[in-house]
Amino acid sequence: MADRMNRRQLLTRALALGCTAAASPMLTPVSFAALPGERRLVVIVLRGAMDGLDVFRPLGDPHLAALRPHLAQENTPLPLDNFFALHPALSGLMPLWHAGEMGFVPATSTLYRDQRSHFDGQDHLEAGTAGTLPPALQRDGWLNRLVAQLPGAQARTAFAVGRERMLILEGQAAITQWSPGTDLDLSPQNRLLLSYLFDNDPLFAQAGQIALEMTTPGTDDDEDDMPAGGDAAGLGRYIAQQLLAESRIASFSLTGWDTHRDQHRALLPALGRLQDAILALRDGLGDAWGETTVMAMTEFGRTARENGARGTDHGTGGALLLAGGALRGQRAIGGWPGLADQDLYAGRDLMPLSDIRAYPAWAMRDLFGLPVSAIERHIFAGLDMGDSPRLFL
Amino acid sequence: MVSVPTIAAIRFGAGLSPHRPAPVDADALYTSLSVEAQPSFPPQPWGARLNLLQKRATLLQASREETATPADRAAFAEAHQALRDTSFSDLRHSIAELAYAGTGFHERLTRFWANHFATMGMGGALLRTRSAYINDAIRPHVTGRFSDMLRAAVLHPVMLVYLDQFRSVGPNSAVGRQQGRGVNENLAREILELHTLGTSSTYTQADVSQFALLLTGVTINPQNEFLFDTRIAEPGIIEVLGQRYGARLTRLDHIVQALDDMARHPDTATHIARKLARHFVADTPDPRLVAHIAAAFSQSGGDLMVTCRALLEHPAAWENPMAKTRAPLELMAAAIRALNIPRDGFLALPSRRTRLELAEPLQQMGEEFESVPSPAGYDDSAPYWITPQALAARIGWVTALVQRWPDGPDPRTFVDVALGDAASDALRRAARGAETRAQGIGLILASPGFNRR
Repeated sequence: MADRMNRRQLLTRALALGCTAAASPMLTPVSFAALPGERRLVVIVLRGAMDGLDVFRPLGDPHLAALRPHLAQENTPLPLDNFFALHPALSGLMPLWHAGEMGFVPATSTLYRDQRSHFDGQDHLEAGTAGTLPPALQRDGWLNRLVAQLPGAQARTAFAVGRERMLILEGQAAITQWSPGTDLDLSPQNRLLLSYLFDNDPLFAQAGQIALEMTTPGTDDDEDDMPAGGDAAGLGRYIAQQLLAESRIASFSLTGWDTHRDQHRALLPALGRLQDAILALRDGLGDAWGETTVMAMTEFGRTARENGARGTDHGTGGALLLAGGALRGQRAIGGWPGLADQDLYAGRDLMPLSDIRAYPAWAMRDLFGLPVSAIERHIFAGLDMGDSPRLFL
Repeated sequence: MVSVPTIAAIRFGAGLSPHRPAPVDADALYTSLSVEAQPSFPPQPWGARLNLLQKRATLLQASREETATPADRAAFAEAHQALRDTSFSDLRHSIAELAYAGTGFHERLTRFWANHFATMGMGGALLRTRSAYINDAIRPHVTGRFSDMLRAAVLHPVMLVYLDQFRSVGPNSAVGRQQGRGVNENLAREILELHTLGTSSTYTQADVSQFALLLTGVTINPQNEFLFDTRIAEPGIIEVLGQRYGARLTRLDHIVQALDDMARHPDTATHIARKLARHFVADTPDPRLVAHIAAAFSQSGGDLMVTCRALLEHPAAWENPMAKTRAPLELMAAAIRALNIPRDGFLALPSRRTRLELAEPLQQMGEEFESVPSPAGYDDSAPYWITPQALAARIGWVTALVQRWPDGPDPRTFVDVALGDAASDALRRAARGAETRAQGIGLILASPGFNRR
């Protein structure tokens, strides 16, 4: 169910719609007391396979320059510690790094190996299952399974934003989905008449009223401004508003990471969008940033060697970016496998040192207080969470 | 009371039109099936589409070589655009097959079966091939036999890739023994669960596993053409649903025999009958209607003309009109049909406008072109399409359509054109109350009445 109203608007609507609203569970105001706490989790799915080696460049690794004769010379990175340096297109995140509000896992991945298909890789990342994927019909996403484990979760607790399919939030638990930027240019009279027609048809009444409400441009008297499609900062602001209202979990995709050619240029727009989204989330959340964790994860990494077109091809180990006000950041988490020939996966890719699911799993335990056994059984079947990476302060 | 011709046009056909009379009764619908069996807008043959895809794949490879020149990249871009153009042309054609049809019943059935045998192109080698698959495997059999359609659909390369059959290897086949590879049950399971017997049937996991073994050998060659490869086919006798198939060397006709037997299974008749009634008539169809269709399906050996006649001739098929909702593409076609938008102009829409004005709105309404949500296809219940997001997209699309079509008719007469005697008093009042003609037309097209069928 899609819907973007905040609580205040919901109350207004509930009054305005009278008995229609009273009969509709979706428009019934929810009690804040029932909400699963104040902690917030945002998962950004970086579709297309982000090159972690370029984003968190391991300058301290002696093999980098030989593997990437051109790419390692481009886009002079900003030192993070005495080993890694950050891609300059993310320079806006440096204040977060210095404040301990950003960290990263340089070499991790799903359990998906060797086929290196974006679609299958993303399905693995979002389904969060071990071994072969369940049949497409039975697939659901791990964030949805998390919602199912949260006491007091409502449809609006979890929010999938954007037009793309978000398997990560699909499943049995009710969630909310909405694409920003769908204002409708209807005259007030036309809205009134349509609203009258929808109200006259039970099947359309609820969906119709919400659709009209959500698509009315410029009626919002406060912070609810809807961004256009490709505007990552707007997306971040919009999600921040939802997280300040009833939502606690949100997920959206950023694309543009599949840099087979001229990566020194091709990666810049995607990184710019990622930075915009994270900064807009932080700014929009205000004090709630201290309760928020952002995880940006990608389906797999890219080849350790650059290819003939100064790009990189589909690989295995990749990076996970973490940000948030309560993070124990300013560090690379989970070790470094090295880039010597014998250290690479299949002689070509960065070796993943962990099952990427362990990080959201520990975040779930630490943020939402879920027991390790419930996470390993119901959310990430087949995962051994291992030792805590102690993500939070 | 909604009249029989209105129900015929809206429930079974493409909708009402100012220039094409509504089918007067069940007979008129039935007769139209033969008349409309040949597509009005002949699609590109499958072989030509495969050539296009292969050319694109080769040029993509070349453009990624270290020695690639700007000309190589331009050649790839051109081939990619050619594929997009062909696919967008398929989209315009599939809307036009409804919008400009005599009744559109045949095309509605084509859509029903395409959703029953839901699949889509996976990976670059079969990019954007759902529409081409429908034209190749579904459309030719809509007035033929179910068993023929079953075979064409489940053995189609697009399906073999979508449901992982091309990864399946008989463990005791030559290749299986040599490489230690095994079976993938996906296609076998979906054939039983979705395409033939249905979930309410009593087949077991053992049937699925055995059928998967029997299906090994069915794969694709490097050119993405169907291939029966004996080197990966599981040898020996395999029992599925109590029948024994195969031999020391399994042959394709053993598999075809199993498919034919599944097509003939009584549970398949009931499954298909329920889905047909549910698609056209009501979310919970009258059990007598379902039984009547199932009997006709069974007795005729899966003759789909006989099956359609059974659907049309039963009184329950004409009760409770407007109980279902139009799928997004059906809404588009019905609007274009009711507004009588000129055919030649519509067919000549360039790719860019096809994307902006048809493909993207379809996606926003929940029916992404060249795509299916799962092997089970789109859910076929009335509320499925009517979410706030999708409804907002419907309102947006009709509003834009009306704005692009300034010489529209008078809303007061257009109510009758679009909905006939199915128009509610509320809609007639609202149409009169609109500020401008264009807004009145948009209101009618966005109304619940026009979005039902």
